[in-house]
Amino acid sequence: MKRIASLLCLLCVAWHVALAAPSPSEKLDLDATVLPSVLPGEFEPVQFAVRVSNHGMFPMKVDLVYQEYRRNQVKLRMTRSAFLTPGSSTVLRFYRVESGSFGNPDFQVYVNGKYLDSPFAGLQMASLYKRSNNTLSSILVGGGLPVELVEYVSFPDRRLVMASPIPLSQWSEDPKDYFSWQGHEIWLSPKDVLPDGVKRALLEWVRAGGQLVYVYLADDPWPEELPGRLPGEHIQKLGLGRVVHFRMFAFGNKAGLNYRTFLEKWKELNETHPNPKGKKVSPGEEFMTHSPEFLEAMRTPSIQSVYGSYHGAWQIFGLFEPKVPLTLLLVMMILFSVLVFPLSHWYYRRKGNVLMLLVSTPACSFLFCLLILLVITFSDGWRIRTSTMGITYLDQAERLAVTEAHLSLLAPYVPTSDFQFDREDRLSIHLDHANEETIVLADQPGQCLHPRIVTPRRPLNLHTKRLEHRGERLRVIEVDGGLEVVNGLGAEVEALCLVRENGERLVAPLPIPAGGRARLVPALEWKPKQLPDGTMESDIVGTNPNDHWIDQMLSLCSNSCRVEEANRSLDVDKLFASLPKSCDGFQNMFCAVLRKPVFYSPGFQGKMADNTQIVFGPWKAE
Amino acid sequence: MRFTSDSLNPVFLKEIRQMFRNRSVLILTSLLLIGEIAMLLIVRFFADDIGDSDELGQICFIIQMAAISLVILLMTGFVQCSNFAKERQNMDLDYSRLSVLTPFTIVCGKVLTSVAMIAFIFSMCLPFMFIAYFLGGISIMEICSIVLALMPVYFLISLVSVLLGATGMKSAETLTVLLGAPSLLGLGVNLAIYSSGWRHSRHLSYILRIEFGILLVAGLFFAWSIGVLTQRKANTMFWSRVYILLIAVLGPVLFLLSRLACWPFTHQTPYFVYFFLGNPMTESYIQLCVWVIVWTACVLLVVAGSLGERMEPGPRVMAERPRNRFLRLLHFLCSSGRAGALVLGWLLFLPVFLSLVCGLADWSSESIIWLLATLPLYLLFYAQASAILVRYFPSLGWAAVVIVIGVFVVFPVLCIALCPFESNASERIWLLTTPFGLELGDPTRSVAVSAVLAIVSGCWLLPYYCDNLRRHLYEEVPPPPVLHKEEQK
Amino acid sequence: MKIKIDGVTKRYRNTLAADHVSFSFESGKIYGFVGPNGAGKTTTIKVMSTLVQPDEGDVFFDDISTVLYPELVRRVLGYMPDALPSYKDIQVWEYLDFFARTFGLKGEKRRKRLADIEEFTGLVPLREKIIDGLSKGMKQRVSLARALVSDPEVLVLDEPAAGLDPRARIDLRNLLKILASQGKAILLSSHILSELQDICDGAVIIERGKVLASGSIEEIGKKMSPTSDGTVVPPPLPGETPATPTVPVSLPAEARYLVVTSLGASEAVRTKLLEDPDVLKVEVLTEDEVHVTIRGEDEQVPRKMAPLFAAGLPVTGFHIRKMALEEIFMRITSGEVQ
Repeated sequence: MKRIASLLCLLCVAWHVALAAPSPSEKLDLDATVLPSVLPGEFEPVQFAVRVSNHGMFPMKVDLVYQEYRRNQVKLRMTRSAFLTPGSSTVLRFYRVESGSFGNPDFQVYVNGKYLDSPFAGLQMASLYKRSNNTLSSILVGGGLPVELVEYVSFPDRRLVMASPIPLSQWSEDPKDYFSWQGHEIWLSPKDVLPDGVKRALLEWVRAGGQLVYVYLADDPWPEELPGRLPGEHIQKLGLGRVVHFRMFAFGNKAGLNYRTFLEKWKELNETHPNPKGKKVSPGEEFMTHSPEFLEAMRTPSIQSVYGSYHGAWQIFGLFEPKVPLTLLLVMMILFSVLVFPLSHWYYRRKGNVLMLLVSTPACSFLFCLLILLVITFSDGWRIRTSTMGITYLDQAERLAVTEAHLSLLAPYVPTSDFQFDREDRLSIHLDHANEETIVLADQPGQCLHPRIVTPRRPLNLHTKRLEHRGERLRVIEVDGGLEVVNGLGAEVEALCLVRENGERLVAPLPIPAGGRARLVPALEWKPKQLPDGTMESDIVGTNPNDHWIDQMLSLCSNSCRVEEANRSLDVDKLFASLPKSCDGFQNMFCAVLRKPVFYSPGFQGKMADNTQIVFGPWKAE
Repeated sequence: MRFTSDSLNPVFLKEIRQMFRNRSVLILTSLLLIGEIAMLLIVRFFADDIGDSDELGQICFIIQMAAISLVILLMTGFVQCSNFAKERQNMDLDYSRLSVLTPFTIVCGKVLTSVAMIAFIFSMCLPFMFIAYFLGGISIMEICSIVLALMPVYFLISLVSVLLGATGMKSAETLTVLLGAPSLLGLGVNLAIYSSGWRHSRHLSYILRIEFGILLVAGLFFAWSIGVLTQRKANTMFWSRVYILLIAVLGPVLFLLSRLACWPFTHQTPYFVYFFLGNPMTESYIQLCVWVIVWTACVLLVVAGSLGERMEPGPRVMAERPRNRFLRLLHFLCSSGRAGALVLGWLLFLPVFLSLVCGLADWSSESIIWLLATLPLYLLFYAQASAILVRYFPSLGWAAVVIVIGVFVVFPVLCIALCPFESNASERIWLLTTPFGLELGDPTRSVAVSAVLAIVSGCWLLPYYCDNLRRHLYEEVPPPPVLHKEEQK
Repeated sequence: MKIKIDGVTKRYRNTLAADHVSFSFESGKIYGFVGPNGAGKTTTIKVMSTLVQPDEGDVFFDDISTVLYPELVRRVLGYMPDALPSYKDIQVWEYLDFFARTFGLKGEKRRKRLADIEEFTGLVPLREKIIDGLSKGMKQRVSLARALVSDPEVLVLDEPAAGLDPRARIDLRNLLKILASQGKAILLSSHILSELQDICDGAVIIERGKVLASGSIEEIGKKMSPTSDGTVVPPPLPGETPATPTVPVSLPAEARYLVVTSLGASEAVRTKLLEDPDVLKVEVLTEDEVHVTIRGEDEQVPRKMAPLFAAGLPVTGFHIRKMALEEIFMRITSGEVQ
């Protein structure tokens, strides 16, 4: 009887537990507003003001979870949590890392562990983080331009357009705020005045590799006070970046064509034919698609092609590709296939005990799995290999160092320690392979990446940018008609090349230790390899940087060039592609190769580490 | 050494021995191995031409899983089913039952054989999957998760084949349809789950629910297989009813467990609140739906299963009654015999019905809940009506069910369909005795009508239920005899 | 052990396969179960072996009902069906091992039992052959071995000798005699009545679902009543077809058929015998053999023969001629099938 009573009680409990329901939600008002920022981007913290008003008496735990997906699988997750008493509010900031190939981010809100549906119904989340995979630029329109232009430029490329919500005069003067984008187009009218601080910030950002395009409308006078503009030049190289000035809607000699005409037509169409429900394009946009002149006039230099050609050079450096010894594995598997079933079956049948197949087959399989693991481990090694390459533009006069670094890692297992980066590092993750699980980013001062970002045997590529003021110097001293250098770069200089005003090249005959001094000698024997005209940097693939590093470095660090006034029919992309690749124009520049990461954080140093630091910049003899 | 432990299921032992000599199995296994090698050859010599080499491993793995699934379907589905059916046809199965083997042991043996063959196939392909992992594009976790997600599907296929074999079915066309359907369904569901981002924390619970659902259905087939193999006048319905009761209890528990299982992956904190009958539920509408659906399904299974049963349990069933009165009550509910089935149906349905009536569902809208509430009521009414007919006309048998369905369902529907009535309530009154009567417009009226029909017919049979129950509880159970052979021992 | 079949009735749709079948047999005896095709033998055997549940009636094994407690009965029952084992892809020893396990035999006990059974049924050279590849006779042996694997007390054999060659049949007969001598109750159905005659202690004759006669063969023979018109047909000699009745003679139930042999004095013997009023008929077959129909029990027969010896006739011997099973069968059954 006791047993039956216990059984009954157990059943009742089980029944009730089975019918468990979550607690009815307390009345909750979650008010999250995104605090405005100049630009959307990863390093500009996106802030949510969270306010909880409820009738309860107890604090509530609010979790904001930011997730990014790849192929519908969560790849990145960042969480911010706060305990809020009723009626209180707080600001939660996200410091998002650009993840390149990911998209479709979402925010989730959990209150006391319970998921809330659509907490940000009124918020345009997409406008904050969504960007097309086809572009890496933003387009900012100054307040002085007609608002309708904002709509125009979203068509036909569907590039993300954002009219800055705050006036031009309040744009950020921190260059880091512009870092999330590889390029910016700034549409300005004569009425738009960029504050000096903004100009300086943009310049610094350009030096760090940004591609800046100033777009002016036809008929507007050419702005004189714009930064980086030199008379007669439309394209200027600064540090690792470029500035392009572009005049739009310049129809040349075609009479009767004026952008204002198009604007008026556009307005008229949209007013008289408001978008019918369900139609994807407005009449104004339809009008545009049927106007080749307008479309032609709409074109601006494609930031991506600029960026792409520049960054194509990265492909020659330090990427790992895991190799699977397929032939050996094939032979092993043929042996396995014969052993595991046909041979075993025949043997056990003769013995009269076919049941042993149930034992021998798994045993054989496990054994061969171990063999496969051994083969691949021996083939790949069991050490973590890292390869880093950093290119730094060092402006000794301004003590400014801008660095772009590429980090590659190949590990046979998940490392145990985090990836540590400095706060100054702007981190991009290029995960080209399926990852095992969601990456949880640690949010700590000095930022780090969780080691689970690594997929065993899959290369991990990280890209960092850094812009900071540094004191390292390469002193050049004129001595007895020749030049001597003092290595103040903080590490041994393995190779050094200096180019004089007259194009003469001088090299250091031997590696220069840190703090050491060396006399330079002419590099007559190092004739630059003449690349054919039109060769893209990305064509230089598979070249050992140790052999032709100077050519490659110089091709990357080529100076500004002079271009004639842009012809309206000139293809701007082709213009960039035809920039000279030889060392012409590298006067008064030095280029040094170090084997230690001085200006960037390698993040993680494997047992087999290969670091290359290239420093270049202008020099001046003392 | 002969690997012949005494604790092994003898049916399993025999089946495995047969499987490893079966020509079809040998051919399928060899073809699978050849296919794997061929795939490796293609990868070795044409990898560069294939395209995105980062996903090579994923492509290989998908092809492997497709091949393995096909082999398993053929092996544990077709081959085992047809062997079982032949065994039944040739009376070999009957001879094996002239022993202490029970139908439960036989079905367990068959299922174990399937499981062993599935494990054998997977263990044989394990190194190839390992290589797929190293080829890239897929992780170990993904491999394990896909394999685990497909296991319930394979289990379901095995149990469907056992059930079909137990019924003696071995026509190739029928098997193709009856085995192919759950296979495709299960595979499709799993592929959809995988592609929709199953590792998203919110989806994991859905996946677990689906997997549990598949396992529960497989278990039902297991119970039915035992029933099919049980002799006709024995307690054929016992295991099925016990399992249905188990589903009724386990279903909501598994629902809860699937949510709990997601907890390590989410930020959700599990909440435990005791739910008492009649309390309104606000946000947990979906949980109410789950509970109602599961229990209603149980009622439908129990009552539908009773339609073909004899009225009272036979002498053999009566002889198997336990001594304990409470256990006898459970035995009465679970054993063959229409009275027990109908009483069990009412017992399962009443909590659902009362909780709904107490205002947990929105009766003003045509929600699925009150539709589910009416279906069991009608089925109870039909079962009870046919039971009443059989009581007064014992020779009717199955014909009673047909008459009841014909009179109360088919005839009114035909009338409404064929006669040129306009669709209004006065003509649709004909549908009162059918579930389609809910079209009356007022859900409360429909439920009331169906409840009245079921309750009235139930009251008519109440003395009969009571008499059955009384006999089951109080009639003496003679002690089981002892064979003199065992006495001598 | 006593096995009692009590009023077993089984209906298949419109056919009454078994109609209140009742008989019994016990340990140490071999009973034949004979009947024409479709008589209901297999149905009755299946009911006995708990494969089929009867619609009415029951079978009792020492008062244990097969309807209520089939699991108990199966432990003491060995059933050899008329269908041959048809398992594919399984060896003989594996087949027997499976059945041994189904009866709960474990470990050494099972191995020993299997070895004994294989020895007993002559399956040792065939133990590793696949069953499907065996000849019919060998399959019968396997089937018998399977029936014996659990050392049952009751053996029910359905057509065990069907398809066997003569040597195999003799072997089987000997096996069954040994088993009966071990105390097993054996019921076997067969169409080869002459063989049944040799080994059976009793018989059950069934036709169209009804038992026409049951008991020992002698008892059945004794209970044979004359034809309705009083014609008695003398039993035919071996090889002879039964003669049609020619002489209507009313014959009491205690009549006996005697065979008297002498040395060429058949006529004298006949004359002397006819002096006895209890001698009903004397038929001279040869000069050495005379068939006599005499009234009286078995114990009275020697007294009836005494006058022959007293008369100094050269009588070499006499014996009571028992009715063969075949004869009984042919007499009782009408040859109708259902």
